[in-house]
Order: sequence, then structure tokens, then C-alpha cells
Amino acid sequence: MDNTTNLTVSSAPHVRSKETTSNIMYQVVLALVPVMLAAFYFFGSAAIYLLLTCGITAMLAEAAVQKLRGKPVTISDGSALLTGLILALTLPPKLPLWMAIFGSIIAIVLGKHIFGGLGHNVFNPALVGRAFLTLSYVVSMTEWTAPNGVVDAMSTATPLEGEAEVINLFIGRVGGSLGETSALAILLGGLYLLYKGYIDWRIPVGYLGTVAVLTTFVGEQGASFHLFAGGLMFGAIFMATDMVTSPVTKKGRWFFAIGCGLITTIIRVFGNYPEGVLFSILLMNMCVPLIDQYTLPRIYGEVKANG
Amino acid sequence: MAEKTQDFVKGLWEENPVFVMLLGMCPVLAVTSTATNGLFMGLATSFVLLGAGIVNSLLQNIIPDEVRIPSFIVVIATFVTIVDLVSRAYMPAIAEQLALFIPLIIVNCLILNRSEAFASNVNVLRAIIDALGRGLGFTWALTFLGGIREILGFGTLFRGTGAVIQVLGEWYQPMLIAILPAGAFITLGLVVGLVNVIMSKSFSIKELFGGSSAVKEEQTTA
Amino acid sequence: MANDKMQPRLILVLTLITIASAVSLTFIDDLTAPLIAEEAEKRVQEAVLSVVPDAVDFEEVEDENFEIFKALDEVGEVVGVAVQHDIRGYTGPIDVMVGLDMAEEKIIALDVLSHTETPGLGARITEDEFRDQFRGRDFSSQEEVDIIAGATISSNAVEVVVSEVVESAEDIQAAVESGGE
Repeated sequence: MDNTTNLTVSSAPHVRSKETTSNIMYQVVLALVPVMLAAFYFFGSAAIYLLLTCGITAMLAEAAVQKLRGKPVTISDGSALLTGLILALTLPPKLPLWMAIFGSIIAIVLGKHIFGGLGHNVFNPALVGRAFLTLSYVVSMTEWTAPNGVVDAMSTATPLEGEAEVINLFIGRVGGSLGETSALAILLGGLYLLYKGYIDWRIPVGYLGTVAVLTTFVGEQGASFHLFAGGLMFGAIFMATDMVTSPVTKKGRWFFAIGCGLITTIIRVFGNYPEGVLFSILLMNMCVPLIDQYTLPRIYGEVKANG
Repeated sequence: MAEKTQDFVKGLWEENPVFVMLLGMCPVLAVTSTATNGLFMGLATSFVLLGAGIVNSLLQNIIPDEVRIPSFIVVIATFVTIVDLVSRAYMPAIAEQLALFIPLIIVNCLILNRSEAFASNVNVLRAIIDALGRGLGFTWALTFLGGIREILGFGTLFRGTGAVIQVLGEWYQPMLIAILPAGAFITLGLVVGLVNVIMSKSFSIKELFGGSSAVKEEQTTA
Repeated sequence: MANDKMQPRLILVLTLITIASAVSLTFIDDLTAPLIAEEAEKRVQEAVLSVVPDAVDFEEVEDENFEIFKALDEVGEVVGVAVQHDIRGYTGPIDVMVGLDMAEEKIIALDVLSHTETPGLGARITEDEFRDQFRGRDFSSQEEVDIIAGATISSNAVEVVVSEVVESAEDIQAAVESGGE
């Protein structure tokens, strides 16, 4: 990374315009390509079905809601597609497709448009969809299948409930949700986004760093396991960094990232749920307006009033 | 006559305790996981509402202003204790389901609100009509919310009674979130939003979403 | 309506209302108390009989740690011991009744008396499929109990509460013997 980014306060677009939003959305979709390929490689056609179902449903739901609200239909900006794809990548491979459809509709309607549409949503829409599914269909949402080419992988439990070799976790040869298994593919996509300047390094670094430091001291499985297992890598790079639902300032982003890391560790090590990434990001999403209020320089208030 | 009809009808819809006045949210959120619980909670609350309404209306000239709140509370608490004892004696199964939410009817602000703002200022007949209207409004609202959550979360209606209706068949996979606390908030929010849209004069399908988000803004600024 | 003149009236009215309330509640309580007590008794009886099916009657035994009931047959012979115990589950306390066969050192049956676990998940601890795993289980058995999918905490809680009872089997037996004959 060169130092041209030094001049900007943050990586979010300060002037909102269709062109930029749409462009960024498709760049993020592009960054998801390695993750989607890994999902296809490890889980086969199930990955394709889920990705297509969620992507298409999310776009249809967005179009339907915008029609009902009498607003221009903007599904071509790619934001609904992105929400659908991210949601799909957090789902277990064998999830019934109707649940995926349901989750996508919830993500778009309850996660996004209830709050007023793109840019107004408090929570990451894909995570709202996933939270809804997790709470509604606990059994289906925790049935992990072994990826292709792995004979002795646990067929019923996510690695967080058992043990796994770190190298397998890194490459993705473990059971888990579609897009979260391969840290390698996620990192590739993340590096691309960093290079393009669409995500701020502070959030993934702060998030992963906090978890790494904390799990060195608490819990039994150690930092390298916690970093590569479960949805942490995917959440830290693709979901916590969502522009709409993360703080605007550098300082705020540090707070946000460290908060996510802290809550994730607490849930993973001490909580009843095996995975804490989902709820930690949602909880910190909720704090973003507060974080922004305390970390925003005064001049930003004026800019915001115009936006 | 028109005034009395008005007293009754107001509580059902226009000033519905749950959907419009947003009173007594604790039982609304806590016991509406099934239609049965909602119905029984509504009836229990209605009984207290009626009893307290009658007594507080009759005593309006006897109770000095300075001690009206403690007096109302004693009257309300008496009726709540009666409901609690009677339900535990005659309907143990459902009383156990509702458990401590029956004693908590005492602090339901709907009841104090009606005693303080209405029953203690009007004659007994109007107090009765008002209590019936509000009680019925509270009951149908709780049963309605309980019904939605029960259908989504269990696929049945009025489970826990002799007359369980299997609404959705075997194929239905229950949506667990509906009967969890989170489901209570989401269902209530959506229904209140819907009621607001229906009540707004310029109702059109276009406002189904625009309208409810406008309501939300009002609430957050208030 | 001077303030000082009001004082006695305030006290009088409030006192009268309170007295009226107390009187009416006493009346209602007299009516319902026997029914409520009967209901509570019936529930304990049902619970004891459900975990010791051979019993027709029961007798409570004094104990510091557990609620213990001797299950008796027609002629008053002890056919089993029912022990009530609770544990913290996922969302609240889980109250169970365990039927013990002291001679055979086996669990006769298990019943979940009350719980607040999540419906459809943790609440499945009340289903026969789960409870039957404890039927006929030896006190010394190390066999793992099959956990309900999606309800690890609730399942484990039941397993722990049962083993707490079983581990104290000797104390329970001592309490039964000293308290009974």
C-alpha cells in the first residue's frame, strides 16, 4: 500500500453518489470471488445453489420493497446482490433453500428497508438475516458437512466445538459455513479490498488482533486456532468493515474493532454459543451512532447535515 | 347513548391500550408466546380493570385527593390477588404458565391510568363501559399477538387448552424466533407499524413501508 | 378544605380501604387455599408416581440437601426413592424428579417437573426420547448421554443434576433409613 491514503480521513465515500456506491459494491463482489470459488471447491454444487438463491432473492426483495415504497428501483447498484452473497457465504452448505430465501428476504426487508434503505440501516443486513435464521432454525443452522476431499473431518460439528489442525483451518479443509472455512481465500479478497482502499485496515487488524491477544491468555485452544476457525476471518474482513454500519473516524473504528474482538472472545470462550462473530458485530453495529457521536470532529457534523 | 358507545369502542381500536397507547408493555412482550397465554392474561387484566374501575368510581367522593394513588393501588392489588388465588385454585395449568406475570398486573399502567384518568371522574356506568372496552381491546391485542407468534413458532393456535387448533401441517418447520423474546419485540413492532399505517388517513399501499419508517422516526425523537 | 383538617380523614379512608381489602382477601383465601394445597399435593404425588411406577403412595423424608420421597406400595413397603433436585439450565432452573432403585443401584426413571428452556430445543428434555436414556441406568454408569441437537446446555444440565443425585445415593439411602423406621 502506498501513502496516497494518508490524505483521506476515512475510506468511506463522503459524497454519496450512485456511481461510487455501485462501483464499490461490485468491487466487493469481485473480492468475494476467491471465497466463492473456495466454497464451490470445498462444498460443490450446494455452494452454487445457495449463492444463486440468496443473491437473486435479495435482489427481488429489494426491487419489491422499493416498488412498494414508490422509490426508484436500484437493484443494479449491487448492494442487494452483495447482501445476498454475503448471507449465503455465512450459511451451512446443506441448508434447505427455502430457509435461504427466507433469510434473504428478512435481511433486505427487516435489516435494511425498515430503517429507510441503503445508508440508513443500523445493522449489517446480511447479519440480520443470519441472526434470524440462527435463532429460528437452530438445528439446520448448525449442521455442518465435511468439505470435499476430506474423509475424516467432523461431519456434525463446526471446528469451534472440537479441534482441528491450524493448516487445515487456514486452507479450509474443515466443516463450516460456505465462505468462512478458507482463511486463505478470505485473505486474498481482503488484500484486494485493502489495495483498492475500500476497507480500512484498522477494523480487521483491530478485530483480529484483539481476539488473538485475548485468546492467548484465556481459553484453551490458543490464538492461532481462534483466528482461523469459524467465521472470524470472514466477519472481520467482509462484514465488520461494511461502510454503512461501521464508524466514520479512525479512532471510532479502533473502538469498534476492539469491541467486536472483545465480545467475540467472551462469547466463544465463556458463552453458550460456539460462535460469537455474528452477535458481536451486530452488538457493535448498535453502538456505532454512539461511537460516531463521541469521536466525530465538529466539522463532520456540518458535512453530515448536508448529506 | 352515543357517548357511551364511544366510551366502549375507543378502547377497542382508536385508543387501543396496546397498539395505540402502548400501555402495559411488560405482559404484552412477556406472555404473548401463545394465543392461550395472551387470551388468559387479557381476561385477567380485564377483570382487574373492571373491578378497580367500579370500586374507584364508587369511592370517588370518599377518597381524598391526597391519598388517591395509594388507595387506587390497594384496590387494584386486591383484585389482582383475587385473580391470582382463583386462577391457581381453578386453573392451575395456565396459572403456572403465566406465573409471576399475574401478580405483576398490579403495576400494569393501563389499570392505574383508567382509574386515575377516567373511572374516578365519571359515574359507575361509564366506568364499567370504559373498563369493558379497554379490557376487550387489551385482550384481543394480546390474543392477536399471541396468535401470530404461536402460529409461526408452533404451527398451532390455543395450545395448552383442550381445543388446540393445528393451523399449519406437519410440513411446517416452526420458526423458533417467533416465540423467543426477540420475536415479541419484532412482532409487536411490525403490528404497531401496520396499525399506524391503517389508521393514518391517507392509507395507501405505498405507505406500507414509508409510513412505518416515519412512525419510527417520531418514536426515536420523542 | 384546610390541610390540617384533612389529615385524620386521609388516615381514616386509607385504613378503611385497607381493612376492606384484607377482609375480602381473607375470604377468598379461605375458599381457595385448600384447593391450591390439594393441587400442590397432587402434583408431587404425580411426580413421585411417574418416576417410581410401582408405588401407590409416598412419604416425605427430611433431608438438608434434597427433597426426598419414599415411594411405597400397597402394603407400605419401600419400592423406590424419588429425589427432587434442581440445577441452572440455559434460561432458568430445571427441576427434576429422579426415581432411584436403591437395591439394584439403578435409576428407575426421570421426570422434568418444571423448566423454562427454549421451546422446541431445550424444552425437548421433557420428551421421552431424551428421558428414556436414564431409564435403568446404573449408578456407576459412565456412559455418555446423547445430547439433543441444538440444546447442549440443557441436555448437559440434566445429566449433571442426575449425576449429583446419584453420587449422593448413599447419603439419600441413609436419610431414608433414619427418617423412615
